[in-house]
Amino acid sequence: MPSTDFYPVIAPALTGIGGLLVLLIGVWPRLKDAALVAFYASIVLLLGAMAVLLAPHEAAGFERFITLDPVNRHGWLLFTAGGLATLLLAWRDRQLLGEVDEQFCSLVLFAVTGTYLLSAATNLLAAFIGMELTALSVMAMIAWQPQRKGAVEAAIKYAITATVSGSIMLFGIVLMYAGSGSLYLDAIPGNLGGERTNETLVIVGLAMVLVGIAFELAVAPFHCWLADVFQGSSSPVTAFIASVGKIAMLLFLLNLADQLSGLWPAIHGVIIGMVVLSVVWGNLAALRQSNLKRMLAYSSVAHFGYVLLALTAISGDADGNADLLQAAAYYGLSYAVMNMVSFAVIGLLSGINPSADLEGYRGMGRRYPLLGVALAIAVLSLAGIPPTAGFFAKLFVFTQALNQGQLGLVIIASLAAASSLFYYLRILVVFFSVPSNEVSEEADIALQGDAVVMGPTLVISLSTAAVLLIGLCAGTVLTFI
Amino acid sequence: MLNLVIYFPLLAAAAIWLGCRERGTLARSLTLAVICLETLILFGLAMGGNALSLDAEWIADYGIHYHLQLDGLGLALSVLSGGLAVVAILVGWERIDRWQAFGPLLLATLSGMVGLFAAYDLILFYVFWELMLIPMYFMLAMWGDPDSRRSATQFMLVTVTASLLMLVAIILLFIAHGVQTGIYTFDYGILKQTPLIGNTLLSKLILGGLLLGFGVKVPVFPLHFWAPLAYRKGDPSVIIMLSGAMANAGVYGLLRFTMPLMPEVTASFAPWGMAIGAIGTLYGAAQAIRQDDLRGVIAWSSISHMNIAILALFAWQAQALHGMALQLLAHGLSVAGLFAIAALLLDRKRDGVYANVGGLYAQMPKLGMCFLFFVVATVGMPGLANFAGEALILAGAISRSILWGSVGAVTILLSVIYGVKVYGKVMLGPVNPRVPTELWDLNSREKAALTVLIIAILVIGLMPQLMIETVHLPTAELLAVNIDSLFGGVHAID
Repeated sequence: MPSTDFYPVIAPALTGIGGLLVLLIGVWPRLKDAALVAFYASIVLLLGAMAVLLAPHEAAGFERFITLDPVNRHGWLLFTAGGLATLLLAWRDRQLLGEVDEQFCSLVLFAVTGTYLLSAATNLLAAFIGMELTALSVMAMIAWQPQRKGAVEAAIKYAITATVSGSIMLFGIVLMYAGSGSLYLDAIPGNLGGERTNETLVIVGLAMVLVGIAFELAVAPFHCWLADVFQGSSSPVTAFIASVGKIAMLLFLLNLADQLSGLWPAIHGVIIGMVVLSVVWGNLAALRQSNLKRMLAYSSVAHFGYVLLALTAISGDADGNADLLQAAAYYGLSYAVMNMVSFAVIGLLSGINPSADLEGYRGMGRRYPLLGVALAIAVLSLAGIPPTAGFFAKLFVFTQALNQGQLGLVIIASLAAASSLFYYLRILVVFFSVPSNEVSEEADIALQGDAVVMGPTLVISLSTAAVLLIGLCAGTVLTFI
Repeated sequence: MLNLVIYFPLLAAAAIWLGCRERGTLARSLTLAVICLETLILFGLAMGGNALSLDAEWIADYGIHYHLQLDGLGLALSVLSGGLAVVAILVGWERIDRWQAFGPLLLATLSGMVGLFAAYDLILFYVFWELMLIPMYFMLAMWGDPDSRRSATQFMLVTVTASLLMLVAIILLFIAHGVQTGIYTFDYGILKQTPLIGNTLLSKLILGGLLLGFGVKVPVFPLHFWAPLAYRKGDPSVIIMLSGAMANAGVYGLLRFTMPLMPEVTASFAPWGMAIGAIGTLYGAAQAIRQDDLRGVIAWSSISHMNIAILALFAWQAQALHGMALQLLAHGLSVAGLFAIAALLLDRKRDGVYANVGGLYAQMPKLGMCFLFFVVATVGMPGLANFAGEALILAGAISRSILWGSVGAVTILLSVIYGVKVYGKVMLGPVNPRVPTELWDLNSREKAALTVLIIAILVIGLMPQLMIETVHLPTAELLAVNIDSLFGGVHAID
């Protein structure tokens, strides 16, 4: 009889039911204020965070469906914060202005619920449900304002990818179930070797699940959708995909690697291939982009290549695995905060430069020094320059990989990282060079109006501080992961 | 105190950047004030003579310490960096625009330099190393000749690639040390006590990474390929910092981290290292003779002189190392002087290409005299700083290897040739009729900048003992790694 604890379900239940309630506000007569809706949604998220904070610290499982352990707790808090940040950014986003209503807010809540389930799944079905819940909500958010250029295209691309990867993953899950007779992650290794089990089937299933995950994480060669989605969706949504959606999937991947570490060596080759392709192709493709969002999309491909680098050496050795997983989780955390900064800045400047073309940002860093500094810190962190979070993330991943003897891979990754500096510096140079033409007065006033930018400014300053603090206090952060 | 001297420029940079958005002149004065204050504090510490140190846990899981220790060598190089920054400001006073951006970048670079001279943990060292690079890139890219961005990007890509490989080497060192002793740490103080023994492939890889990372910055032959272009295209004020102060960081890194941490493999590399240093210095000098513009000559002469330091380093012998420390200071000062002259000519709309100048001495005798002084210092006139350094280096190097020591000595002759040539072309001869004539001699600000350098060169040249005493203790500590036994092929080390 599986132990049943209700703590892990409180937060997902709160956000899930909260999402429904927020949706109900829409049919309530005389209550159409978007600000109020966003306010309620934020309250729901804050309550969810409270529920996570108040839950006991030891790991608690619910029906062998999801488990709230210390790592997930921090993951859930991060997702809640990410959801809140998305609401704050979207509320008065220039592109989404007047379009954020109860439906959008409830979608954010549902997506957050999905990430809760996905990241804490101890059961392959829970992971699948979580993934689909997130993917469906995100897809609707991408297509928000269908009349916007590229929105529908991006949503269709995302929908197809999500469906394809979802079905591949589901097929993998079925194979794993057929091979081991269990959907519980912790039971699969134990079942193997018995009668009526088939290890080959499980490994093939695991590889297919991995492909599904790789689609969602946009690791090369499964990255083709990412650039269009980043470009086509509005900045708050992009921020949500990069900082919340992907990290939830990463946490599930880490969980999977941890539980099935015995089977992992069989798929090392697949992962090594993905690492090499991602770091090389992601960085090279990013070099060629002239649009900031697309550039960050390809850089994201490269970053998840670095994350996977830590997973190339997972094996049956539990001690070594803990360090590897920790390094990967730290990378995920720093990736989340530095992308939050970048997309918040892009969103805030979208009134001036809606297309996010790099040239359109000429001189913005001089014009708005604080935005410039925030973006500079985020970009330097993405480039892995100390003392930011991005540097320590690379340091830990490289150290772990070298410790497992992956010298060749690390050298490839560091050369790729060096070439990435080329386009990161280009962003900074454009931001801080002399503007070619003056920004229109109107756009300027819109940006300087104080109330308008309160939310984004808060998000930007908090996450910029996080980029620095996660780096400088890496020792403390590591103990939490 | 240590934290203060490291972070004071950085904090001041932030304050100036935020506070002086439209007020370039105020930013300029504040930057100068901050750097003067910083240099005075550093100088006071250097005179005090006590090594400062600070040790705290930073990232326990990875054995990373926040360990700072500023000894005589580090202090001397920090004071030099501060002094050069003052000179860079003074000679760029009118020419540099947008001081509200330039000042903070310069301050941040200085912060990184002082930090890396003080860092006693390899990761901390790397942090400061990069902190110094990033602002330098922006200064190179945004000021200087119109097409300086290309050379700046080249500089950045080369150095960052090398730095990342150096980081990989540092991590490998961390792992190798951990495997050997069971202690996983990046702390230099601990690593140094149990140096990596053995001439294995792994230690060769580590050494290779470190050589690459530090060597690019020096710039060691044949990793110097980025330097001539960058030195020529960048603004002279920036190049003063790049060639005078930052190159020292590279040699300092080699000195501090290769031999003490991996004596055996470094010793087996040492003959090659001496060869590289000697060939590099010869090649640099030969290239300098071929140049047809002032900045090109200075660039190659700087490369040539930094390679002499490499020759000294790999001789790993007391005299040579003392000479090297002197040479680092002397080269920093004299190359700064030469680039300052180039900057002053640039202020007067002279780019220093031989075809466009000539006979300037007649119009600007004071500037001409200062120029002569720096040229003479560079070629190693006895009594001036460079002579003491070079003499010690060559004495030390010859005692280790007659061949490479002599090759190094030949360069002194070559340096006289290019020194005389460049001075003759620019300053002497008939006045070039193509040159418009509105020229002014040194004003008091420019005199101040050059005087600082001249006095420093004279002081070090006339009293080298003073400097040797400052750096003696650290070098003696480094020399405790007994290379003689290693050169003899004996494998006994405590």
